[in-house]
Amino acid sequence: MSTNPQRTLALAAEYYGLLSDLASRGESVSIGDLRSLLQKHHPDGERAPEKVAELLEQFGLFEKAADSDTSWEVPHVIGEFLRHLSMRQRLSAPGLLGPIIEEVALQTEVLRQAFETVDIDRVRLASNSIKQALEAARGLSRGNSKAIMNEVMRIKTREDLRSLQERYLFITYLHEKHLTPLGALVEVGGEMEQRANELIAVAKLGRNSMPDDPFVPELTSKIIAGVRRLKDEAWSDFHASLREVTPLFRQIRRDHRMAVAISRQLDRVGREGTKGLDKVVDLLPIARWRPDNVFSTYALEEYLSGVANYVANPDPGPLATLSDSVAPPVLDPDEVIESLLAAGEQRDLLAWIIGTFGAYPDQQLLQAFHKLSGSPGFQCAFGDQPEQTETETAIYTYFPMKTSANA
Amino acid sequence: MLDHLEKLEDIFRELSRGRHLSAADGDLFAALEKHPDDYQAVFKKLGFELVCDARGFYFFFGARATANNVNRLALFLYILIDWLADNGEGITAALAGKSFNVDQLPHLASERYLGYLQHVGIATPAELAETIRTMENFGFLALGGDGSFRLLPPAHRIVDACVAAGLDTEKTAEEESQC
Repeated sequence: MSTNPQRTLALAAEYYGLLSDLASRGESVSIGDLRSLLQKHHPDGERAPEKVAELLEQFGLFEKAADSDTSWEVPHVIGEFLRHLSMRQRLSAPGLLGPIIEEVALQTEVLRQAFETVDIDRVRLASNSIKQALEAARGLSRGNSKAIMNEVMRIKTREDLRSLQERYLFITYLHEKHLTPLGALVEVGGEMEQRANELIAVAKLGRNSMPDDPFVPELTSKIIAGVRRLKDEAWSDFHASLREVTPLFRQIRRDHRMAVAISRQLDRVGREGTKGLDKVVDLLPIARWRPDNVFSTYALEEYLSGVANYVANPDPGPLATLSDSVAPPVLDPDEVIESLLAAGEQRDLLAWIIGTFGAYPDQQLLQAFHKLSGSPGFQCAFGDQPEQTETETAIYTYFPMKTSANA
Repeated sequence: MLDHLEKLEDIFRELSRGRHLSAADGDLFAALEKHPDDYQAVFKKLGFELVCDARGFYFFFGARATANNVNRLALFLYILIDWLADNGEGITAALAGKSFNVDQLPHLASERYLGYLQHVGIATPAELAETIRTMENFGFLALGGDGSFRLLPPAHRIVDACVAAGLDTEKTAEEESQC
């Protein structure tokens, strides 16, 4: 492999589309596949596919596939670099940040011992290791955050081409395996904050214990700045990811639950036919009221039975004489109004009318009730609990009307 | 006493014939939104339970007399959602008004779905179209002029029934296994 970084970068720029395409697919290519890709990305290119493969391999942009000498793939490190350039980072394996933070803790102890023994060489060595670990942690945090954003965008735009079930499994994995453990690390009081505080304390201790050393103040300042930067960025990366993932996770989880319930329901219909839908129908009563619903089946039967016994021209019988008839008493509406005004506010208008004018026929009592309830002279309002009142001919169940005279 | 309740008669007529009123119903829904408690109280006196669903729709709980063929409507929606899930589409988004072309529905295009539908007597495009029209009458969807339709918020009620029925079945199975 040639070690000419400038030429490597120039070649990567020339074949960027092809390399990026291959890196995102993560597959190996044969000469035939490479020919197709060159036609797509370099239709006017003059190099033969064999020559292109040789050149890319020479500069480390291709490597032979593990399982074949006649196919190539983009090395992992090049793929990561290309994804970084195109802001299309991939998710790293969950839990990678933990070991890096452990390494920081280990090197913090080494640094503390170096300060205690005033060993500047060990101080510089430990400082370098710590800086590298901090940078690695920062890069991982930022890369993962961008990768999560990419995944969220792919889901939102349906570019992920997953079924709802697959999407649910993926977002659950993202939530439980990446974000939850990351939150435990970076949140206030978490592992990262503890380690960062320890490191800052050791750096301050070193600055005080070796104040005259020409390198220590700068080294410790850089460590403290690096730790604070990591803490801030990791916290903000985590919360940015959480903001993107949480609502999507909740929505997909809700959708998934619905889909599972419906899938089971359809399965039941497949096995049991319409009987499988009985519970759903019970839980989904849709009103379908028509005026004829006011007749209960029983009342309707009685009515129809009456119709069956109808006689067109019944025997009129003997004519009644005037002396036989008793004229029904007539309830004077004005008398009812005057009585109500005298009686004052009533909690149950109908009960009061029946109680006061019970000698009159029900029809007249109800007419009086109707007249009073619509009268502008009174304020009326229905109560909430049904009441029952009895007359000689009927039992009435109704919502009582509270009545008071208008001032 | 009832003067401030606008369109009372129209609202009662629609609700009592099973329609679910949502924002797609314009004035009727707007009137209900102004005084939901008052409408509820008035209808209660008449013996009707007006349900106000927080997802933006109203309906009469059908305790007295209920519509037939509810199983057709339910099965139509369940198949649609099952198909959406298999194709990675969001169900929430679909229930929030995604547009569907009637000609591209999966109901009659798959043996599995046809098998379910034969139990409720749907086997032809005409029968499917009749089910869609019934759903429109009940306010579960809105038909467009171009052979498309979109689901309306009341469709949530049909999904709720499925989820609740599933939970019910699980509970019964659990109780039976404990006995």
